Amino acid sequence: MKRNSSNIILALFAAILLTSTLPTALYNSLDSEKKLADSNPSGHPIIKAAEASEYNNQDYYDNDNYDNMYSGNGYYDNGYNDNGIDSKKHQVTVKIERLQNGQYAYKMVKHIVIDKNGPTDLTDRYSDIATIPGPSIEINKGDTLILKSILENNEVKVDSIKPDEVGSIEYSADDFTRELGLFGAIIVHPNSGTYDYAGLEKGLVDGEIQKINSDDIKKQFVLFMVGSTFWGMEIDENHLQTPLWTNPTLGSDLGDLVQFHVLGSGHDHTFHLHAHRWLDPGTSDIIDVKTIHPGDSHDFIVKAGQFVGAGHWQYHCHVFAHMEAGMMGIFNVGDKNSNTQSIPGASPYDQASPSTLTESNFLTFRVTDQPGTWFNNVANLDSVLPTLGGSFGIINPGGTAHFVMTDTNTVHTVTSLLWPKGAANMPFDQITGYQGGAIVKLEDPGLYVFTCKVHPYMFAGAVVDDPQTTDNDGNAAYDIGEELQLANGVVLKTDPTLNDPTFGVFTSLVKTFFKVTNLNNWKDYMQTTYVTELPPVNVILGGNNIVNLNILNTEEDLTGKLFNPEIPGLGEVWVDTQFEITEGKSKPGTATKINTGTWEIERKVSLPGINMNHPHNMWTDKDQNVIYQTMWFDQRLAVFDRETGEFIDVFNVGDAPSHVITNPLSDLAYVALNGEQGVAELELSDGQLDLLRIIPMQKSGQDPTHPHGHWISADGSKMVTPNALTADSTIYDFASDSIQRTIDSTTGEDTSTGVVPIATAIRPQGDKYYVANLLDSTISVIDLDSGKLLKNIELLAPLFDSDTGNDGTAHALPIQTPVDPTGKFMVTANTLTGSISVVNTDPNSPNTDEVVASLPCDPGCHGANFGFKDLSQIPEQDRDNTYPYYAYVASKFSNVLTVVDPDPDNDGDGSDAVIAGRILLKEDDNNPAISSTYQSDDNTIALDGTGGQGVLAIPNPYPGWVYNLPPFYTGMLTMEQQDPLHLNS
Amino acid sequence: MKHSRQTYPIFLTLLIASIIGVGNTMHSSNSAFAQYYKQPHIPVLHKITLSVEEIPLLGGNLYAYKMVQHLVNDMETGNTIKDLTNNYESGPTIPGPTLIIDEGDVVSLTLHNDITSREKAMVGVHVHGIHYPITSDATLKEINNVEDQGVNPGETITYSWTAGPGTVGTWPYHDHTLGLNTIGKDPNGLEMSGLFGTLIINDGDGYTKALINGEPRYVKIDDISKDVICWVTDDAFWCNEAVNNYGEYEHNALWENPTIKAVNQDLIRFHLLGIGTDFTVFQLSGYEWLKPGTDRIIDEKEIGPLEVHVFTVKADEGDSQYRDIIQSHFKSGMFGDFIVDEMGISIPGEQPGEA
Repeated sequence: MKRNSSNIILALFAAILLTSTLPTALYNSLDSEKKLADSNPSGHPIIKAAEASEYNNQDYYDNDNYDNMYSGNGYYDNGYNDNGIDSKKHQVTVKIERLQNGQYAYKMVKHIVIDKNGPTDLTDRYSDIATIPGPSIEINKGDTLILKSILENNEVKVDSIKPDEVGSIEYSADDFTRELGLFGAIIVHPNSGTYDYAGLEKGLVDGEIQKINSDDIKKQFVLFMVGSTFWGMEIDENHLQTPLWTNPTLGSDLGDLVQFHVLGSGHDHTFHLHAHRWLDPGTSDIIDVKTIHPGDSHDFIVKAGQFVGAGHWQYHCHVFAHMEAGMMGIFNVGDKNSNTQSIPGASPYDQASPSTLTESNFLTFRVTDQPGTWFNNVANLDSVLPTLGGSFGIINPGGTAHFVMTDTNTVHTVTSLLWPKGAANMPFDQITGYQGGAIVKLEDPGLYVFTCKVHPYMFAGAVVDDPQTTDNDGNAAYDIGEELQLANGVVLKTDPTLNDPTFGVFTSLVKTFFKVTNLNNWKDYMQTTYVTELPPVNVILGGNNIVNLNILNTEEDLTGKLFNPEIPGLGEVWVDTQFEITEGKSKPGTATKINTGTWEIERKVSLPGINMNHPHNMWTDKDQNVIYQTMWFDQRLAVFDRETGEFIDVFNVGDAPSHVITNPLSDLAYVALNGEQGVAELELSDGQLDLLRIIPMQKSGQDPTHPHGHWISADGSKMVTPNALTADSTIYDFASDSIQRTIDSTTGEDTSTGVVPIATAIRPQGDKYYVANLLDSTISVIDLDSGKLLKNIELLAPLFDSDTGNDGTAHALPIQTPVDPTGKFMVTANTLTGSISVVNTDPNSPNTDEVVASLPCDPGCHGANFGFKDLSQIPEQDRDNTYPYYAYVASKFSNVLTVVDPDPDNDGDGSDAVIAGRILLKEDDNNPAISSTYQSDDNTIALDGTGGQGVLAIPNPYPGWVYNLPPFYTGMLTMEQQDPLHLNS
Repeated sequence: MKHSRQTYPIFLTLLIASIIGVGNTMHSSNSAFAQYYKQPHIPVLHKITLSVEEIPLLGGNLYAYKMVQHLVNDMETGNTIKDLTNNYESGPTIPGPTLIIDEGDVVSLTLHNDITSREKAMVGVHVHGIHYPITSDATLKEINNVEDQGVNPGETITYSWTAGPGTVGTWPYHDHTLGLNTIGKDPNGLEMSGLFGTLIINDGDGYTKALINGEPRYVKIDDISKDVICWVTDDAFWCNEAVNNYGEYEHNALWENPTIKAVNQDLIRFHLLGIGTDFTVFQLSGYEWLKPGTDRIIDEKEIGPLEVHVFTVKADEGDSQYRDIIQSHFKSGMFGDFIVDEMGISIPGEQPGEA
């Protein structure tokens, strides 16, 4: 007996020892479970419904015939798999459908689950229409899911998965249709079998991390984050699913256990829900914000309103630009047991009147890099109304405009450019360029135009049409609105009978919209006439005047418009024909080289090896050996050999690199990052580009400037930027590495230059510089030393003034605005009016900083730079009376280079400016001006010669670069051309 | 009988050994047991007043929170136990003042809007993580369906927060007077212009986890020498630090990309919070740390807007660099020094408006 008792006592002490170490042991085992979970942190595979797999075998998968699935095949011989847990097989068929508004969605066809008892049809759980997100397929861990999808062309794809982890998994298309609606969730719940204690989920409930029985979860909400929109679905306790569409109100009662499944299908987001916090799966960390990249999934459970109470609790993406773009909804926690209902958001199924052409009140634009239709209405109304172009849509009041950046390599804003004055939810804008989308409700009838502040010729148009208002015959007539507001504050009157000067701006904008977004309206100088055709629809203007838009149609005779300048140029000129479509690339753009001696096209550089994307602006090194080429719809700077066109190097510099220029002293290259906050400094050495630093053009914490077309002073001491998104300009001083923003000349306080400053030019004498303000149609004159705004040159409403030479021509939306090497003239490309303005910039001129001449340009008049005339071709006695330069001007929506002579008689007054020539930029076989030595690294197949933006003449005529030219070039120049500032005389 | 006499000493040895064993394992590894013999934290009321001021800057003003008063009051009697106001900087700071409380505490936060340059400029203090009712959401009526919960210049508002069960952690607070259509609410987006700060709710039992000499270990929060808080925006690290001064914290503003210093072998807890539109990737050269809520060891972390990342390390001799390795961020200067020396006194970076 005593032996027994001592054994018992020993056993007792053993037990005490054990219990002291047991907590540690237990804890360590819990830790190792966490370690296991963490070893596969991004765990979830993306099951793509459009990929084939081993199950694509009709014998194995036969609709409605399940006999050979489980009996006789040994699959369910004993009804249990290896783990001793009941696992099931799910056979799901979904079908891809195109929705009325052009988006795509999955529809549930059939869901059969097979377990040891046989097949059960679960199809009734699902919506009977195609939904976004697609049907949420709920399975248990250890189950097998065979997912069959029927594509639009009736092709069938089969994919399968057998998940060994709890959580959700995205199934989706693998191209742009994914972001347009082809995504859905597979939700893997814990298995409720006896051996797997995890028939339980984990969550933070009642202040502690606990296990929660799946059966106690009242509702599941599936939220997909794509573009800048949530697409949602609700699943109730009986697994019945209700689509909730965009940015829905999620309804729940106080105290209910609610499970969220948040998945990403496009762009980068952070999910946040107010007043709740939850367990980050796979860890013991408690969080309330979670990063969601495409393909990520995040599942968590909360007790609705616990410790905080009922309320409208906002959920949203916390990426700031996405918040501004509308990415938010409400988690409505109502009173206990009140059965609070969810409220679906706007959907492509929202019905609209036949006048909308789609009968859907949900208008979706996808953002691509394709010229003209960068904002592309996915409903493709071209087939219904060909003259509408690809960027226009119609909805009824209360409808939704929705944007998704599906195929663009760059950042954009979605900004309201024009809207009916006083319309709800307007203006619409973001403080920085970003990747994502946008969603906004348009309540009031009228015309809305959206643009991107980074790439301001991207347009999306929407008419919100009140179906009650018709023309006199009762047919559809589209509401434009009495007054339209422009983003810069100007109000346009649309009533033609008022004779208001703003009416002309209104009609110009409408014509421009349809010129840009309908490729058939681009100007081809190889045709004999240029026809602009607007959609023949009735619109209701101010004062209830009903007109057909086709009264704005125009026809221009193009015969005799092509001619070469009499005096040849010296060297060559490069034009970025940014919209050319070539065989070897998926992105547009080439650089076209013209020999200015012969005015023939000698080369086009496409760089198919790097898929060069929208080449926008160029510069050269001091020896004129290489061309630096920015890619504005991308993130890269390329360099190629000027003579051979051969690729040298490419570097990822940052978002939307717009312009490039070198410092004349150091020969370092400076690239403006138009999608970001500053200018990148690069060095090219031994054929390799290196990014040295990025110079911010604002102080930390200030709104990002997004500089576009910068310039560097002739003495290399200063750089100036036009800050497209902050409406001012920055002067950067190289020596002190400091910045100065535009200030008012009297108060010394901040001042704006104008709305959307886009390009600059510094007078070579270094006293002042000019900033073209695109939307305001003004050019600011700024003191280079102090940053003081001296004057704004008005382009839009000039008065006829015989003293200044101003002939009263209106110029609108100025872009590139170079000052000539002598500092006497500024030539400006104005894109809305398709015109060129010439300004005298010499302080000694009687009409300094006034427009003295106006010349015709082309639609999308954009880029300009000066180049040398070849004065050796003129008798010596005439050289002094010949202005030594040309200004070359390129236009986006035509295929010619315009050659301007601002001062043919060289008398210092630009009022006698003329068009000296027009050069065709087409590679077309019928173009007589293709050189016999023409070479290209690719083949142009569409939009030949169009997209003219950046222009660069070689040799570089501007001070200080001209002073550093190699002797080979200076040998060709006159004394005047070598030393335009008279430094050496 | 012979047996029992022989087993008696063994008996005793085992008894003593087991008691020592229990004691050791309880103390060093399992915090759940720690609370059985540590003093429980008595919840207090933090009566805090903040104001919002402008920092004038050519090209666009910045906005910042300023500590006006921080009283620690007894919850039953209402008497003030401590006045912590002088532990903070006297002016507005970016990030705003770091509020450090314990689980169980209650906060009454009053906000004055002291912006002078405009008549309309609604601001508020929206907080994450801690419990608060819908009336303290600090959003506009079109979001919370109750009322506009922010203040225009000259006005005052009070928010109520409770650090209830499950709220331990580091949480951001920031302006959130952003509506459904943000433009037109004038000015909008002030969270981007400097109105952000940090709330730290410490575990009542006083422990947190750290990677010490390559091993995950529980450390006492009381033993942490300083909390370094850095907000990672789209263009800079904005930091401040809370130096542990015998249980009270001394708050120093470190501003933009500062030189952070620590004393060799000190425990330093880093709190990183993201804000803006960009995603950042944080590194602290030469250091590894625990992924929060796990024993996984990492040496870099992606941080998205309003994500929070907290870790504790032991300062090692030598110079290190904290940085965001995303190219456009790094190349525009988003990095700073972390230096370990004898004094451990951090050097603030550039303050907006100076130089």
